[in-house]
Amino acid sequence: MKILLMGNPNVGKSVVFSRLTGINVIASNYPGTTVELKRGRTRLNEKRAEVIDVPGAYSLEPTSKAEEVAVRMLEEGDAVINVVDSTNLERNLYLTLQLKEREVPMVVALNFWDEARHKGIKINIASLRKLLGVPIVPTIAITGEGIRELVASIPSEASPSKVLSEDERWIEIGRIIRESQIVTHRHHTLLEVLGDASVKPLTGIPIAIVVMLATFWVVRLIGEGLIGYVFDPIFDLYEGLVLELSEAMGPGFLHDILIGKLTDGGINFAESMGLLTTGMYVPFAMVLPYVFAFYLALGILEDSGYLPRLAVLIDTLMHRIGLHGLAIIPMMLGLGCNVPGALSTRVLETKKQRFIAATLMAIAVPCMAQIAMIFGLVGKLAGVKGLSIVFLTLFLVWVVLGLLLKHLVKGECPEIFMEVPPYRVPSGLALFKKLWMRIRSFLTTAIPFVCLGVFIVNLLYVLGIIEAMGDLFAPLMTGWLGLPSDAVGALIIGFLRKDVAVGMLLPLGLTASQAVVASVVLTMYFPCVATFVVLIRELGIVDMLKSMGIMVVSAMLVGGVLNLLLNLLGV
Amino acid sequence: MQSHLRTIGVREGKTVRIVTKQPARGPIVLEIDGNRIAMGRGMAMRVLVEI
Repeated sequence: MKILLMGNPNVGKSVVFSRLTGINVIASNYPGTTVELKRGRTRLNEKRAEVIDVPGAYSLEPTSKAEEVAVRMLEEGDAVINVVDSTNLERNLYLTLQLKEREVPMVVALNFWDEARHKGIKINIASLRKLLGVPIVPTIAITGEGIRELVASIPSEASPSKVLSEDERWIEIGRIIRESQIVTHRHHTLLEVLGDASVKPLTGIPIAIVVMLATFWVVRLIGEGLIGYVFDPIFDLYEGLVLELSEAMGPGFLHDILIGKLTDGGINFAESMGLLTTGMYVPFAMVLPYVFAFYLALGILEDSGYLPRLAVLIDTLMHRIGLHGLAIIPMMLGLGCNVPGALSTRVLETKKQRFIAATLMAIAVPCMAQIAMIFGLVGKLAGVKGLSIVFLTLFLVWVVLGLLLKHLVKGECPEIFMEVPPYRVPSGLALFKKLWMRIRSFLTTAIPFVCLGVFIVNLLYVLGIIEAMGDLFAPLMTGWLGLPSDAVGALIIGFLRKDVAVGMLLPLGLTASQAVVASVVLTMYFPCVATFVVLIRELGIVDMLKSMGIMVVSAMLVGGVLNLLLNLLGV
Repeated sequence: MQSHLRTIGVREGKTVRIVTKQPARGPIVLEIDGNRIAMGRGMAMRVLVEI
């Protein structure tokens, strides 16, 4: 038996899903968080049932890719849990009536029941049940209230229903609302006032600047703090252990693979390129602290409901590059990891927008793992000035490429049209769960890939492949980009993991300007394999080939010009 | 398009308050039934209201 969770965007379907199945999925406070199907299992009257979290839709006439997925799923489902926002009953009932017309067994979950009561909205459940002819269960998904009754209330058969026209549905909804809902008082709450202040330009732009600066500051503070006070001391202790192992093992191939090169009889964890040294140090002590800090900050931005407001403020700028405000979502998620960033381009309506957003994100938005390593490399060799040049260059690439693509890519650029959800105080437990999910997914995907990367680096050096490739690409690498020929190894490994690739540059003894150029080229030239696979799926082969061409050409162009400029200016 | 506007809450007979108009013909944010809805100026121009 397949149970579909369906409803308008941002009504809490993913939270209900997590409650029903025990599987944690990312839930946030903006419409379009869920863009693909998530499946899980639950118990229904001693039997097992499959529960499917379906992307939100306002009606069964799809307007975006995510909504198409929702409508197609309806053919497969045996029963529907229609999750409804009780604070928005009238509008939500349109989909409810459409679902009812399909004659699938259905139960309605009146979610945000507490918020509705708080807002002075009273819903008569008995009357609503009679008028709709389906079971109604009030729920507060975030605390789990009503979830058990919800599953138990799924009827075995659908109630018969005739198909209505659009006008008839709205008339029916009017009747239902009149007879079952009373709104006693409506006054603007503090959160509402704050919510409106953050979309009005006069107050909103200063708020946006403060929020972005605070986010940056918090990420840096937490990231640096964790490295300095937690991870570096741990690795200092660990060094003794590794040195003992090194002595016991003696030199040889195995030693090179596991421990790598020793520096003055000690271990330089960032540079030695052994599985037990660099393979552990890069993911845990260099990347994880920033990933942790970034996802903590992102979680707060997502759950409070700030992101859609930022989308409204930035909308005009985004139109210049063929997108609209909502494209801020793939960019922000891409800063964490490009994979969810690429997936979330589905919130955009047209193929043109999705192509531009995915290409710009893959080229100019480095993921947090790579950013952390760039902090390590460029911060050490070129300081804050070097870091500023790297990120300013990437931002300029993002803008200029966007301006070009807007005119070159055929297709429509529709305007922004979305609901701006109310501000909500993020739940600590939900924040923690989401953070843990993201950290766990980082650890389970990053550690094996980083180790594989480090292993392949050793192999490439031992087999002389890096030397051979270095000679082959010397005109490009050295002549045009001004980098040592060994840096070609980083471009090879960059396809596997960008963080290891930046790490490979550490022992090369780069100058400040070389570190800047190499970081920019590594960010732009190609996505990592994980992003690559998702982009093929999202864009299709043909568009992905186009996107790849843009990446390689613009990376070489920008890298070369940057090299010339930096040398000319003597930076 | 009309039916999509209705399903998001912009419907005949509703009271609309403009929360903000972004400069340079940017999007506007409306309040309808206590909800905030952002839409581009082009679409907003085609929504007829009675004052």
